[in-house]
Amino acid sequence: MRVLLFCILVALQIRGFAHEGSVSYLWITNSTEGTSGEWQVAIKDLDLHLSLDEDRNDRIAWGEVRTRRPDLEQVLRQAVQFRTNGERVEPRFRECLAERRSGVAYLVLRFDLPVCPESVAYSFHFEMDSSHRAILQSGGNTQMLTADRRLVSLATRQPWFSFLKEGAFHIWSGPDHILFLFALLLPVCLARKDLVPTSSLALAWSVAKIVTAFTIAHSITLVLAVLHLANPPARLIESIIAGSVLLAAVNSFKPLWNDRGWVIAFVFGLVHGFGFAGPLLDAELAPSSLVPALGLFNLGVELGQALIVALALPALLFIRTRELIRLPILRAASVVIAGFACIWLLQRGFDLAIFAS
Amino acid sequence: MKQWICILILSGSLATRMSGAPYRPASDDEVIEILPRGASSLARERTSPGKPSSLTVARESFRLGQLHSEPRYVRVAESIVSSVAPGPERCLMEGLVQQYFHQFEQAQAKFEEGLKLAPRDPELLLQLAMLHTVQGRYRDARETISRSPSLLGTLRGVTVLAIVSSLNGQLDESFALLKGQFSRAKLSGPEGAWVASTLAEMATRKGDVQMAENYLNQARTLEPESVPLLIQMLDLLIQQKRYPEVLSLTKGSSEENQMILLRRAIASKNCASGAAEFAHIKIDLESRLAGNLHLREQALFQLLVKDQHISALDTALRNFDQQREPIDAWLVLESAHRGGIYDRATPVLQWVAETHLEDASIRSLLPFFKKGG
Repeated sequence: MRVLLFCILVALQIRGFAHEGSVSYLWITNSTEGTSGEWQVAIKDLDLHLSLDEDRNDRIAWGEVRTRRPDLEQVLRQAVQFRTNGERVEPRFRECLAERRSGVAYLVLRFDLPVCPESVAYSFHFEMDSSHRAILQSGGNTQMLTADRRLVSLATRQPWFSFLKEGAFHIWSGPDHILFLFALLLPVCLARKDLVPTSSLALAWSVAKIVTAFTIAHSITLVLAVLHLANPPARLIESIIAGSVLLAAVNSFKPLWNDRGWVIAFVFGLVHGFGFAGPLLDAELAPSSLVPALGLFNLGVELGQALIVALALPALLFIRTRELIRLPILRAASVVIAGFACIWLLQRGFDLAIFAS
Repeated sequence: MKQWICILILSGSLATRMSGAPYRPASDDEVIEILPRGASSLARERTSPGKPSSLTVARESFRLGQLHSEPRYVRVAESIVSSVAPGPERCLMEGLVQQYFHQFEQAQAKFEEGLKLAPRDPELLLQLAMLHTVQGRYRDARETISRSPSLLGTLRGVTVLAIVSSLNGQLDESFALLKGQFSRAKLSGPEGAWVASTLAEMATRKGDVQMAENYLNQARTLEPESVPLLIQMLDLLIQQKRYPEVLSLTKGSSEENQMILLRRAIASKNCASGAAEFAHIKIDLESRLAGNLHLREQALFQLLVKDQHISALDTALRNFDQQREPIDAWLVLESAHRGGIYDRATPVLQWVAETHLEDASIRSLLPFFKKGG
């Protein structure tokens, strides 16, 4: 690493800071057992309202919080107000716990609600910090409550269809996934006759194996990523995806795996699955919404993928019957795909701005 | 396959470390949060019924936020100030808050508004001069200080002028002048820490690392709780590639503060013993810096943690439009050098030449631009 200069910011007050704001988190969960909620609030914020440090030693001990339960209940009732049919829904305080998020201590207040609320009005801390915000998660929806938006409705319909649509469009939004699949299918249909299945049945079987292997593999890693069981670096994943497209394109010139394209589809499908997970991770779904959302998103990905195959296969089968153009098209398409793959590989692996504005 | 499974398990365990699960502390004595010193008094002030909001409490709150790098207390200061009577002091506090959040234009307007009410207010003049300095308007900074002859006779006034001169081709003279004044004044507390840290910064630019370290240690003795001084020390150690010392200094205190966490990420990336931790910190920082408006930190993260030189250059150039301090110039030049895009650094090179900026780290980069440009 080159010599690194960091000099002090010379202003009396202007020293560089990262400005992490004050945030609280609110979950509302509906289940067969009823409606429950959880409010996580930074202890430093709560201290400014309740002066929790009884013994004035600048340390908040658990006992200093636990014994203030009536005050905590009052703060909760004032700060977060639930309504249904215009009537207040009073939370029943259940328990108080502690948690650390990114080094910040939070108090976790758990409560039950007699009915599912239609709206939430939030008013905590704004008088002390106008930039304070609360992240509300309810029924798969994430909403932000701010000083300018203190009331939100929870009655919105579950956006299940959006996950299906998101999945279907996601595979189309990333040409690398499409090109990888297409590059695997190209030689199966268009390579020299001694290298490809001759009967229609054998051809269909080869295509089905590749598509199925890719589907199974990316489903596995999509689940792992969304459940936070695996979280490999994005740059590594994106670089490997680019490399997989390049490898698949090279295979059209120099057969590397003959009829074992499905193995390659499976191995790299595992990597592509991590690439699919972004939209679901961004949605920060509540645990109860995760499984249906994941299922629908994955189904959407499969539908998008099926559409790719449905569009590509007839064209490839047509070209397959035209001896004059068969191999030239295979090579030309592979060169184009390899070109794209090389650019992506350089961009992602080496952070080079090719075609950047 | 075994390796792949290991990677999956490791990644999963790191991901789960980012936010812990709710827990019930083992006993009433278990400390669940440590407050910055003074936060308890502030909370009592805020919760005492009938106590009017005062500028004194606002100043305490601001100082707390600044010293501990805790924006929540700066926001509290902002809320208190909004309810006090208009006047120069309110303008000063409002300007300081806006400056803290890098709203430089609004801060300048507030300082100027205050100076209309109190044209020779030394605090307002000093802050406005420093704001001009940070944004590279050195002539304006000098003119602002010279509006108050009495300010010119104080160490604070001299320090600001020394800072300005040191950035305009008179680094050695400015350093010598301030060093002499500082040793004679025998300052203590925040003011002493500020002058000592300014001398450390100048010594760093001169390339005298030992001198810089001595002054920084002196500053940290005068203000041991200061997070900005800790960060300055970490930066000096990183410059010297003394990564184990960075890890040792930040152990157990880095998670909450992004600035410290960023330095720990840089050190762990360059330390064999920090490899496992690096992956965890990087993911954490990635999510936490996403909504952060501080361009300098973002550029540092992109350049030194993620090795994304082109993105870092874009961010560094945007930052340079806002702030024009040596580190901001260095960030552009280093990003351009690493990315091999020398021509995009031209505005910064022109600025360095025009101001006659003296800086050891920038000087070491300039030959590459002569070759590459």
